[in-house]
Amino acid sequence: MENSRKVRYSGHSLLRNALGSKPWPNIFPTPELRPRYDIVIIGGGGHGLATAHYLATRFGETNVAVLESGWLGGGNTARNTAIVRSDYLLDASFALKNFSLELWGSLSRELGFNLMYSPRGYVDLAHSDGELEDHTLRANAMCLRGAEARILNREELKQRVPQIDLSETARFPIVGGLVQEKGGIVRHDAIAWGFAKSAVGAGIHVVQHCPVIGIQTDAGKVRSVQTTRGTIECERVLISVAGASSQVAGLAGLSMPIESVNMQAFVTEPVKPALDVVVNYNAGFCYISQTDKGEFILGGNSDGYPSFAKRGSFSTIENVVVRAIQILPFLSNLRLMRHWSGTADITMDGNAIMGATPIENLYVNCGWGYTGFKATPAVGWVMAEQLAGNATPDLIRPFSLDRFENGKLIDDGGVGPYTWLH
Amino acid sequence: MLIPCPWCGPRDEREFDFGGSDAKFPSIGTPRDSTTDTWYEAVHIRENARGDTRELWYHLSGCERWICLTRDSVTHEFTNASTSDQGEHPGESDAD
Amino acid sequence: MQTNRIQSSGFGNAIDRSRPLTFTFDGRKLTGYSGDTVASALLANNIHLVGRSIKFHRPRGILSCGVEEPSAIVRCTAPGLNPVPNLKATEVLLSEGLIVESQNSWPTRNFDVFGLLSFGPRFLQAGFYYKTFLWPHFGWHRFYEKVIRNFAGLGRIRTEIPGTGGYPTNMDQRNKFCQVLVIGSGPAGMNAALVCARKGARVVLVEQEPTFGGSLLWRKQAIGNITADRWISDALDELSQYPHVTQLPRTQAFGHYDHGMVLAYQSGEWPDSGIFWKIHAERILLASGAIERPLVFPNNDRPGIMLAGAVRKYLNRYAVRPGRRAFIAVADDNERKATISDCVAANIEIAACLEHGQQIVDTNGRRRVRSVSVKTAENKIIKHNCDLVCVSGGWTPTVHLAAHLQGNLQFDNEVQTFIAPEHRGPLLSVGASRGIFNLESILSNSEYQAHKAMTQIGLSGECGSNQTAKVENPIDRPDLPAGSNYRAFVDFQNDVTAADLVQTVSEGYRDIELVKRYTATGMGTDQGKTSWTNAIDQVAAATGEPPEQLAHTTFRPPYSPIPFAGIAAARTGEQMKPIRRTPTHRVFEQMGCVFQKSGDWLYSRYFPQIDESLEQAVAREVQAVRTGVGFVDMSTLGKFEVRGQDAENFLSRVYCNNVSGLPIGKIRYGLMLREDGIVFDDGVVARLGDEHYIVTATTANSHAVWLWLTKLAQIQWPALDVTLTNVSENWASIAIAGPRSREILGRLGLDIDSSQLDFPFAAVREGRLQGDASCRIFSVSYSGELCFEVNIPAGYTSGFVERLLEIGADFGITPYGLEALDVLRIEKGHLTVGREIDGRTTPGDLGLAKMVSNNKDFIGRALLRRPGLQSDDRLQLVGLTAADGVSEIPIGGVLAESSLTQSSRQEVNGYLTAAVFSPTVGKSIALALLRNGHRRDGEELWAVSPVAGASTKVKVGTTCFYDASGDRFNA
Repeated sequence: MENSRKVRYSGHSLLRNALGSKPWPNIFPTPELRPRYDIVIIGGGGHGLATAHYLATRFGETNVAVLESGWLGGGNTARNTAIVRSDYLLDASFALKNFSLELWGSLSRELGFNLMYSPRGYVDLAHSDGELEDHTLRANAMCLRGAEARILNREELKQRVPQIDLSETARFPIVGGLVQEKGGIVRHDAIAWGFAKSAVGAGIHVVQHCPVIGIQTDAGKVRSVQTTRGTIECERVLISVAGASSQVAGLAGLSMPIESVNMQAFVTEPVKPALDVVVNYNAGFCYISQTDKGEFILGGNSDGYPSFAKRGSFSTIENVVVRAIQILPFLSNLRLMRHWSGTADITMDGNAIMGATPIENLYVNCGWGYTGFKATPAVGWVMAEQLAGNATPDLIRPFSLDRFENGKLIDDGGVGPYTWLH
Repeated sequence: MLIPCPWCGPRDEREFDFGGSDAKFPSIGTPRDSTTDTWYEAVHIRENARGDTRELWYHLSGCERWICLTRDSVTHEFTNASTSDQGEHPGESDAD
Repeated sequence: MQTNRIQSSGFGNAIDRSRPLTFTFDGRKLTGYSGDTVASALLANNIHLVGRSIKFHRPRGILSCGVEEPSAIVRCTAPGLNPVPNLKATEVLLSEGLIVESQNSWPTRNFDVFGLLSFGPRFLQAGFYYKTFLWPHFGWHRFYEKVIRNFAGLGRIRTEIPGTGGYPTNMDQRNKFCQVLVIGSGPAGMNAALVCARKGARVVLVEQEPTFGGSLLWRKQAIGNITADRWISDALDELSQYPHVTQLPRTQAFGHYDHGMVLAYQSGEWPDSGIFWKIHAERILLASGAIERPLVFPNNDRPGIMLAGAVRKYLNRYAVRPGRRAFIAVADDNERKATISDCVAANIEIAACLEHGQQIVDTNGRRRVRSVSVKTAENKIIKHNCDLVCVSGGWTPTVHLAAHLQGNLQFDNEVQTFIAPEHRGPLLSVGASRGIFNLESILSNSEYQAHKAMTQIGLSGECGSNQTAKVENPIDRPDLPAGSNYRAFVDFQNDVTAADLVQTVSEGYRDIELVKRYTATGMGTDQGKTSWTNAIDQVAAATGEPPEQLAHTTFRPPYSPIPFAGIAAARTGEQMKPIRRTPTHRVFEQMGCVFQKSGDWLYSRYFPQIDESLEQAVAREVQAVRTGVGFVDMSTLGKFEVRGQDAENFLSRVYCNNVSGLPIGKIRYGLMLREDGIVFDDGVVARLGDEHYIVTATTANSHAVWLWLTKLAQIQWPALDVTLTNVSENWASIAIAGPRSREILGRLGLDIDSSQLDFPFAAVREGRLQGDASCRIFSVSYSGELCFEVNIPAGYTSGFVERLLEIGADFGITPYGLEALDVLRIEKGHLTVGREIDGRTTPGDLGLAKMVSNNKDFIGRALLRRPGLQSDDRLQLVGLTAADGVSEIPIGGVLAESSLTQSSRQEVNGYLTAAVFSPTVGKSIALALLRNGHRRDGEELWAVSPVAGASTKVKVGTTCFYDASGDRFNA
């Protein structure tokens, strides 16, 4: 493989670089495109790159190209709140996300790239006895399936997160919460870079600034992918392009049960450590954690209407800020410093679509809404298995595209076919 | 956004509830009319266009009516606004 | 002693020397004047070293004189208020008694132990943390992260909870509507505002500084034959005469949003007050000026190395002389001359100037710059002693708000940087933001653009000549010398050096967005205002791509950090979201009701008697309803009137069960599906007249059902003659339930006959309350007892409840709350939205398959037939009782084949939707969604709660635990 070179990072290599004069090697060289690949992955975000990594490391598939229209991890991998957790009630949702959570722990070593997985605990607050009952149900289901979760009453919550305002007179008083200690945050950009480094090191071609402009099929079977840098023939294609799933699938003539909405998140200026847990407020969403850099990172609901604008309504931010101050009053002394937004593809039951399409050898991984980040390694793992072999992995099966036709919905929120409410 | 309500004029988006695309349901009549295929398409499949989309908004803090708007999903510019009874609603054959 | 304060009154138009102020810096008592910023006051006291940098703990001073400051970040505490970290000393106005502290140093800023880190810049190179801390695999979180986190972060924040509902603030939020918003009050903005105001336009002029005038205030350029100060005061006088002009000083426009909305934050009296403005403008004139860019050279970050324009501003605006002997490194010829001239006028000695072809190769001085080493064109190194270095690499147009709605900025070849577009959407850029720096050109450009805006909004203007970006002297920016540039800083706040950028690019992070993320360039509180153009140039050089192709990272609001307190404004504590109270609230309060907040509402939860626990009260309330009579507030239900010729047809399409042919005065239970076949809501349909119905919706879905019904009527079926009226808030609803409820009804003085014949179950009657207010009575039952839901006009509620208590006294009438209601409904197996109706269940799952009509079409019919919604392995609603008849069924339990003690890990067979102790049945009962539950009647399995450590063997049965025949409500 012309590009096959493994770069090893360690404290030792860092010291050697600092003291020596040898520069670091380029870990993302721009490859010459081959006319044909076994597998083409459209989308160089976390999911696509994780798929490439596992294709190479678990299945020995290296005649693979990852085509990215912009820069590595420049979509929703770069636009989220970096939270990982697996507190899901429904079997299919839990299984995939918990598998993902189990993978994070060893991933930094596996990739030789520090993803800064920080299992600092995730606390989901409940504002009424009914909500706490729901949380209990979820925690019980998690425990029974082998995950760890606890329910905290107000006293225990006070111990676990002393910064939280538990006053009874709060607008939405807090009666308790679910805590998953293995939940936490991961350095989001590093995921794309780490997986890309590994994939490139194994000889996979990762090509940035290479938009796909056509997908050719023949007799119901995918043949080639047309890019701005020429046409590439291929055996199998995976579309893994959050924020553009309808558009790219449309290139192959597929109509998707997806609408895209705008998601926003923002940070305060950095301060010294003041919160070492992820907190989620449930009376209208607001999730908060503090990054390793010291910034408080906050997010909430989508803007509530379809948009590809990648900028947002300020009222969404307002709603998150007022909630943040309810949970952690000291935040009112901080400032909104940086904000970003991205496009989230939402399906008609709010859950992802993974697997085969009506076009043979064309696979999709899409519709993650704003829950895709935490699933990244698991998705890469199972999509690689799907692309490498013929059998559909069990973890993928419930997420099939045809579930909307056959009615086997996986609606975690019980919201229905109203994408803007998910 | 400033939403051009045909009844109330341009008003802040916080006065409105979004109500989805203006895709029409298949007509409702006898039990036989209701086929899974046509409903599957109508309920699930979205053009999800980057560009003009036709959609419904409910003016909650205003005229309390549903309005149809054409909005660019990338720039958020509105190019058309109509009241629910002005718009084109073809296929309404079941007004028995 | 303000040793650096210039005594001559010709300097210092920002300060009021008659109002001295005292403040402290790191405990040292200092003085300044009203009008000073913290930065100008510190400089007046000859303090340059203000704090330590984030990564290397290098000594840092004051670089700039405004919003762009990357280095002088301090924590300030006003007397009696909470400390606020991370403020720019160049922005904070001095106030009496202000406590200012440096950040990120220990023990002191002068002797910072961690200053040692500055010797390891190559080890702490860009992205070092991605390459190490990999061993052992749990090491990052257990060890390294803790250390890194403590090193990271700027200031400290107090996390104690100050009391109920957060910090009290005096923040206000206001809307403002205008025809033209002018952002910035320098020559461009002021002139544009004048043009628009003269045309009669409603103008809002915002200026981020306390004083209007922008660069005119310190550049001292004359306009024609008028001095700058005079021109400004004339302009302000004229603007003040126009009632349609609003001037907002200390107001920073920080974000440009859709359809002409600009958000701005006006700082008030420090620091707990301010006004958050939402300005809605037809046209926006962006006159935001430009920000000076530093030069990149080794050790360019020492205190005393300042932007040339900032030095001039400190001299002229604040009468502060930042040094005695200055080295001048200003790229633009005119700017250099002006800098020298201002320095000389203020008695600053000029050590030397950086000439064309020369490079700065190093600087010296530990806590303050002491000298500059310059390499001449002849490769000779000359060392210049100085205590001040004025640097300038030219001016970068302040383009942010022009780019917030996205779309890239154009690179202007003449000014060699990115400039704001002339026109984009409602925004027109003028002056320096367009790359126009010559004063005459600025004035004519602003006039042209202002006229254009006027024409666009229909206030005609005759356009003058357009001016485009023009540079008199092309900038000759001295190149960075090669080598040793791990100390040549590009981003001062995040300690990003030129070498970091080169290294990053060579590692493969070539895209400017990747460079930003890998190095954190421009991601600090200054948001890269002084670094972004230098970074682009460095990356361009490293990649070999020209800057115009490299483009820039996305500009997003806010332009500068905005206080959370201002964004939240009054929405703190209980004001966060309005609380809805039902019409019974006042009278229930008098009755000692315990309320509970849930969702929008404040519910009546239970009515405790003295020394009674929640459980005791609920048991008593339940018993009263089962054996005597009680009443409960049902006012939160949605109530919608449906009228018209097609009302029946409409309802027939909306509900999945048969609702047609309902006689007038009768009621039917109605089940509503979503279009995908899942149960949406349940309620009752009551026929009041020939073409007149009233339907109810559950509390949780009240608004959603209203939207649904109106959307169907107005959009899907506009041809149907149906009119909907939401009367939810017009009627209070009190349910009188229990075997003796009919007796109460008889005594209420209603003018309707309440004998059984006339008022069977599932009927509705209209009448009057004691011959006065109209009322409606529905015989429907959620509790399973004989029950009459009395609807009365909301305003009559207190009187009605009082009367009910009076009449009911003999019967022991018992008010009950939602807790008891919940027990009552679980005993009957009645459904609740959010529990059994959870957005995933079908009518079949809920045991209501028989209700689904086969004889008509309705919403949800088609998709309900999908195989996945009809299959046997779905979760289906069942009733559960403890197998031993005595054990408690754990709340929130899940259903498994074995108990917890037998197996800790097993398949989830289903889960409980409700579990209570039933006082009526005398044991623990539960409702549950169980896989294939309808075929498992009589089976035994386990309800387990690992979090509670509890397992109870349960027996599957029907969902109705009490009065299955329904005799009681038919009584």
